[in-house]
Amino acid sequence: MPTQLLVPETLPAATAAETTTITALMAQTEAPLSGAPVPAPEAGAVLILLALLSPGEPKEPREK
Amino acid sequence: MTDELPVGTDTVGRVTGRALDWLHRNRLYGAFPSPESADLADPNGYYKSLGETALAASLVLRERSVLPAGHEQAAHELLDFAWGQLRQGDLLYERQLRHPLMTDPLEVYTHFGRGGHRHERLDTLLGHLAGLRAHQGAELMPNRRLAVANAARVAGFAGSGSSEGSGGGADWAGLLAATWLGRLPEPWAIDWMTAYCMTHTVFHVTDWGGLPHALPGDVVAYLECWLPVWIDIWTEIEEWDLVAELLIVDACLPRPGHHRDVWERLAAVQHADGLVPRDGKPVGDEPEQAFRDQQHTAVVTVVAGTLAQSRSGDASPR
Amino acid sequence: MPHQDTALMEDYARAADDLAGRLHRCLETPGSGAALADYVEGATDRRTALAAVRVLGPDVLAPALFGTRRIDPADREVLATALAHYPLDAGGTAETMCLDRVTTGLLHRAEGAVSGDGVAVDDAVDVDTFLRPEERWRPWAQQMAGVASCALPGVCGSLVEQARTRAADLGRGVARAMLRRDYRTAARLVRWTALADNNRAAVDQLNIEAVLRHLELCGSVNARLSLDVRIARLLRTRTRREGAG
Repeated sequence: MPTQLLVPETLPAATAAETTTITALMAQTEAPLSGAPVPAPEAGAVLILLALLSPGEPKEPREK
Repeated sequence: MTDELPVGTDTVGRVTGRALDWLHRNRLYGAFPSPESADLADPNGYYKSLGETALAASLVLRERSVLPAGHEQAAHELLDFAWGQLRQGDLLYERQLRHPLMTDPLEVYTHFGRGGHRHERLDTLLGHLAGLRAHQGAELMPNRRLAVANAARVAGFAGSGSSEGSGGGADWAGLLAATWLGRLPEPWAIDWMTAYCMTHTVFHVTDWGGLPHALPGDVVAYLECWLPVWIDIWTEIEEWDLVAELLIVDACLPRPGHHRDVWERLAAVQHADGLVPRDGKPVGDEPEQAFRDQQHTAVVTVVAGTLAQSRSGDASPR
Repeated sequence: MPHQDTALMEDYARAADDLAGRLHRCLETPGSGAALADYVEGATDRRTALAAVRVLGPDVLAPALFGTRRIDPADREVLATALAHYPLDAGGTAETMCLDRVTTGLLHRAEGAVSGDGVAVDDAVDVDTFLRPEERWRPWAQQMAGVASCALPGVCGSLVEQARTRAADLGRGVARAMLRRDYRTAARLVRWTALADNNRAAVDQLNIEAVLRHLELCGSVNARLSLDVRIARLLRTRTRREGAG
């Protein structure tokens, strides 16, 4: 293995775009949009169960 | 009664007063469209919303000493309106008699009791049912069992709760331990519905902030640590209804965090007429639909703000 | 963003992911994985490969720091070259300065040039300015996530002290990131929790082991996330060992 692997002079100087890109990739910012829990489709009905009403209305017996 | 309620001078007071005013002004939209029977064919949830309105009104009355003038009057009118819709309690009595294992008549009745409304036959019926083994063994979600226990506690029915043979009084520690919150769970393993279960757990253990020291120390420490995270994430996605419930939880703690910045957000989204949107989606123009959709949010905002004003003197932990 | 910058971003990001994958394999299986020199030598585009080394910064030293692979002179030279070829002085932020300080400091330690307690960023950056101690938990945790690549063995000083003393706030940051499904941020913050020893109750309630498993399940396709999780696990093991010993 060569002792000097890469001779800096053989590489052109880093461009502004390259530097900017590297800075952007180093900058570990958080996800811009939240994936926080939202109401599930059945939630409306379930919320009624929670709040005040009991789970299910017992049906009246059918006339025989 | 003047057209507009006077509101508190700070943000919490303004948001709360205007929400209460909206609830009061729009209360007729909460009337049963036709006389209701004990079986409640009630797909739009008028009964539920009447109970919630009664809850808000009852807590305003309980905390009236810290609230601006006019709020007590508005709360009485709201409570009287709801009581009238329930035929001065007859509807609750008939419903409980017809469906003895239903717990909602007790839960709803308790709010009216705070405001001085009583129904003698219902009292007798509830006392009778509270002693049944069947009642104590009712199949309810853990936070709902707490709701029943607190309602019984407030309304004065000893013997309700999950413990047998203890001579009355609920096993609060046992009931709490059975809930999601009681296990002090991973705070990131919570969803929208579980969040509501958690808030209700706190409401009932502390009797809606009336007993801020009723939560055990480890649960208090847990909530002081993680409640700010839940408030943060749901504020970010504008779930205002849930955020208001989380603010109620905060006000139920021995040392509330107060979260003034969140109240500023609520103030910013509150409509000119006092309506508080339940989430970030647009609110329709039709006032009756708006009432149906946002009434719950007004209720929890009024409760949150009322309790926050009561607790404003209590130092926060941070 | 102009077309060529988007292409550049994609190239560099892909290269960084590729290198992250190699480092991860290296950490999982001691002795395996290409050395940095081999990586750059074998790359189709050396500039891009060097950029990847530059982007990952301190983490390229992880295999050496966790003892799974020695860092040999050729590797050290690749790192030095990457740093020299892409100086960030003008466009650098406090965060990139922290990362660079740790990279160069750990590099010197690997060369045997420096002994002592470890690398602190404090001589390069005024930590209390950009990571204000009085900052509320959320912005503070966001900042800590940004410098999470400094959470490595051999690093000490203000950053580590802040992580140690604000364990509850780290925990809040982790919980918030998990709930937002921002698993990259969660993984970065979990690295810091391994170094926190105050207020362990908050961190314990989080159930870090479960968080790590959850991140592994949710983020297995993301190379940089997987690397952060691996490093977090190794830091935890190391911290527990040092605590018990």
